Amino acid sequence: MAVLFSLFTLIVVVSTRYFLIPSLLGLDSNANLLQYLDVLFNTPYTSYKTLKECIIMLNYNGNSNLGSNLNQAPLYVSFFNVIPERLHFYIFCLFDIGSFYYIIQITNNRNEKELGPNSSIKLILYLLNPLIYINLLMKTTFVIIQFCIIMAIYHIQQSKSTKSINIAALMFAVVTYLDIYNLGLVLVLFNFIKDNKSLFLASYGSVFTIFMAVSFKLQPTFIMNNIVSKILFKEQYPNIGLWWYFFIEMFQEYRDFFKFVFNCYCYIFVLPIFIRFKNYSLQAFVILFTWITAFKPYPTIGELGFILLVFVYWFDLRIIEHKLIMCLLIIHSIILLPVFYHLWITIGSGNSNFFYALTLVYVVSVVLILLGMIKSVLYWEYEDDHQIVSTENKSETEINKQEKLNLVSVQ
Amino acid sequence: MRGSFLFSVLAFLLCLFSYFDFSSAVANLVTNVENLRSSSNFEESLELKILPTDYLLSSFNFKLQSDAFDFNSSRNLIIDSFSYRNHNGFSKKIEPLLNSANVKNLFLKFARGHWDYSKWGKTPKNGWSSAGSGVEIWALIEANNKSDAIDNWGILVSQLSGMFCSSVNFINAEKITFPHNVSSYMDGKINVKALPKLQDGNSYFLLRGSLANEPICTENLSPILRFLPTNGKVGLSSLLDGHKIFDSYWSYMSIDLSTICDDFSMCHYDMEIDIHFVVNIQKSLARNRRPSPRATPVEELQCDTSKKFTEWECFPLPTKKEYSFLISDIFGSTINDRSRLNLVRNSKIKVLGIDNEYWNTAVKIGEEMFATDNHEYELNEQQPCQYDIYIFTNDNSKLDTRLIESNKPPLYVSRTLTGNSQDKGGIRVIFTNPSKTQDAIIKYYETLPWFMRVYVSSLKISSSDISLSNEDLESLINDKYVSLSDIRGKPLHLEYTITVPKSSTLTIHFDVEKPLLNYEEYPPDSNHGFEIESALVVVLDRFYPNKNYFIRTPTLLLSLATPDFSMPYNVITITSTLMAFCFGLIFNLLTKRIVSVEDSKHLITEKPLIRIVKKIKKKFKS
Repeated sequence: MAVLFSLFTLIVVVSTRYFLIPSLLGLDSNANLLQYLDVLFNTPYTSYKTLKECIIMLNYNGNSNLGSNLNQAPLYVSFFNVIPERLHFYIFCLFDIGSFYYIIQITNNRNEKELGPNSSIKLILYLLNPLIYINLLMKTTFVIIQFCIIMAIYHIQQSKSTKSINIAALMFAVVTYLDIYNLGLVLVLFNFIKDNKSLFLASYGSVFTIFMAVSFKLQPTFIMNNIVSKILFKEQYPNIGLWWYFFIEMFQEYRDFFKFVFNCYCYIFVLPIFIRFKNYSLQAFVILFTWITAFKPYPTIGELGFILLVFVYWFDLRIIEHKLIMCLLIIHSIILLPVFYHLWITIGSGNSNFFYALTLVYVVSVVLILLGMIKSVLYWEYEDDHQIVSTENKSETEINKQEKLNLVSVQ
Repeated sequence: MRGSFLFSVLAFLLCLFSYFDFSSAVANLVTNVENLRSSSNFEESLELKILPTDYLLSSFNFKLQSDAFDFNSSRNLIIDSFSYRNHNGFSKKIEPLLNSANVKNLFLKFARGHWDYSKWGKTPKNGWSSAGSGVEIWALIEANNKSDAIDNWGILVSQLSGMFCSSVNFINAEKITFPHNVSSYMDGKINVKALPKLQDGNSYFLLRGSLANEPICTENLSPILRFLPTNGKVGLSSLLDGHKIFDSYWSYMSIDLSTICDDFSMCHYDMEIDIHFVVNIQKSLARNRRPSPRATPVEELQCDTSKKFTEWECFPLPTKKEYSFLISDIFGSTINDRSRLNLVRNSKIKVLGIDNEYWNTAVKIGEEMFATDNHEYELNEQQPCQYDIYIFTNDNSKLDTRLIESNKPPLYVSRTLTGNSQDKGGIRVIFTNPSKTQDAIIKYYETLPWFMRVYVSSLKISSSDISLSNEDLESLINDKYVSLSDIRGKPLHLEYTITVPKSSTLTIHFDVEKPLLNYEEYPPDSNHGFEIESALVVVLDRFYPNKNYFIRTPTLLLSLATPDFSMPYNVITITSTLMAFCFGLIFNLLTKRIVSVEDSKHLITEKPLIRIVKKIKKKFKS
């Protein structure tokens, strides 16, 4: 009976999520309501439009490698070139199902205590996350990056076998290949592995090099169009990050210097987090990912969807304070960002400062989440130091009653 | 010592010159007349064409030819400073202009105003003589590679901008395109066989660039007149007055320069100057009579008798049916004498597009009038005198129907920007083929700046003919050439060969995204928008490639989103503050750990230094 019920649920979920709603909305995300959310989910480097442009130019037998608009990675383009265009959405759906499957599979000792072994909550959280779902409808590159991240984490947790290490390395090579800003996360991945670190490094390095070499062979300009132009912020479109307005308004002479500073800033916590949270590798990974996402040149809300999901999955929410403020800030910024963008761009009754102010609010809310994450890990550290076994039915008040805690500097 | 040396050199040079002068003087005297007759090759002509409902198109044409010279020796002109050449009236500015940038052919076009295709038919000279509003330059440059060609182009446009007092130097690498299918544009315009021989390793590059809506005015005209040997003072060019030309509905000036060589590398330059403009006859006559706008006096009113017509009420006719005028009323001056440089060919004036039965023309020499049947006049008086042309009609609607019929354009094009937001939009081009019998094969040549991110993949074609399926529509685009834009590097360049089926309308549409620019890249009036140069459409003639018909679409005005220009300090400080805060918060947490309050009390009171000392002591004890 239970099997039948779950099968029925699966059918309902699949049919609504992948067939009913998309067909109601129409597959062309430019024609339907989603176009108003374009600024939140699409950047030139992740949008499906750019992918289509790249595919067209791949099949064009002229000097197709010229032009700076082809911002997608060549292997990614070649992959979708093989598939007929009307099936593209279903490929993204497959990746969505995959990440859904593996994110439930990822086991974390602590996490099982917190949310219980019942994966139905996880399931509902994933399925009802609107950010992840809209990201899927938009067919952005992040759908695939998300799948690869989750798959890499899943496999690297079982780091005993060489096969899973190799798969993790492969998946992570895809992640860094599709978005070069994820490169810093590689270091944190070493925390997962007890031995065989050199194997991971070797296979990751070789796969990544092969990807780069093949792409270079396919299209030499991808280094300029995809990597360099991302790092140097060449495609100046408004997005939810801090870079766009800063560099439009920045004085010409200082622009290069500040691009250097911003890039360093993005990577500033790679080493500290790697060293500080050696025993909490999964959490360290998420924390670093959140930091980089908040401060990289082309962030999207789709990434926030993933962050929120794993925030709920893999952190102890009972320890985290100011959850209401976090929630309100996130909702506030997600609702008002497209509204103010529309006011500025289409209606013309507001100017760019409105949208800019909301991006500041958004970054503040992401950093608040980040603080919550770090605090929850710090508390686990305390628990582990004092061998406190937190049981499942212990509530938040009980923890607070037990002992008054304080933060002090690390020795 | 030094002074005396210089003096002796000068004296030597003087002797040398005088020697040359005297020795050749006698010979020169004999051949002088012959030389003049053969070498001075200046022709001028004026066509006055009456366009439907009282518009007058005046087309001036001037042809000049330089003397032949040895092209190879002219390359090292600087070394060979003693060589000299006869001056036959061909402007001396041309040769250094072309040589400095290694340009072999140059087509420079200035245009302004609106040409009414549906009423007036084709633009003059099959559309070759027209440009989108603004400046357009085509240049054939000899260079080693593309970047050399672009460098040479830079030299050329900076010289041109000085010469013509216009901002053509803004046509830089961001705006230049290299036409892909050269023969469709240049057949009959560039004679490939007559080009000079290439130097080792070089090849020819054809470059095209244009500047939209560059204001064209008097200071662009006077340098062109300076090129003429008559200097705008004698002959037909004395009619050209900047105030009248640029007060017209549509005006156009072009200079076509080409280098033509024979097989023995003897070359000469050809220059053709075209000046066209359209004025409304009635309005410019009225303006002469009443410079300030006032109501038409009663005696001049022509009433429409088919409508209500009493002593107090009069519906005026849209235009006068019957009138006469002298062209000096329109141009503001008479023709001062004629060009006497060319002994063979006289200045010619021709009146076109009129029905002989209802129109009369005559040439007025001094106070006398002479008329011909074919309305063609040659200015050939021996004595200097003033010429004028007299035109009379008793029914202005009767025009040469045969000419109008043959002059109907084979294609209408319109191009617009779509979309109402400042980040996304589209560009839509509509081709209409009015012909009932013939499909039109066209070349659609589009240049768009890099700040319009055009998605070539989003091309949508639709037709007024509903029976065509999507595959049929796609097969109408026979050939595609695409060169994508580079940020701050090069423009988007499309060349599509499209078949427009007979008596139908074809619409193509591209999606466009508009980025933000750096704040210093916006013009002072940033909300006015950016001028986008016109697209070129060439209707290919199946049998005579040199009869291709050229159309330029109107220019576009693109509005981009603008940042708040008063904000730089605010944005920099607020963003930096936020980033510093975020860093501080996270860094603070990362360096802390959680302990219970009791533990923390003595941990906090202990200073870090003491803690370290204690540790060391502990170690020593153990």
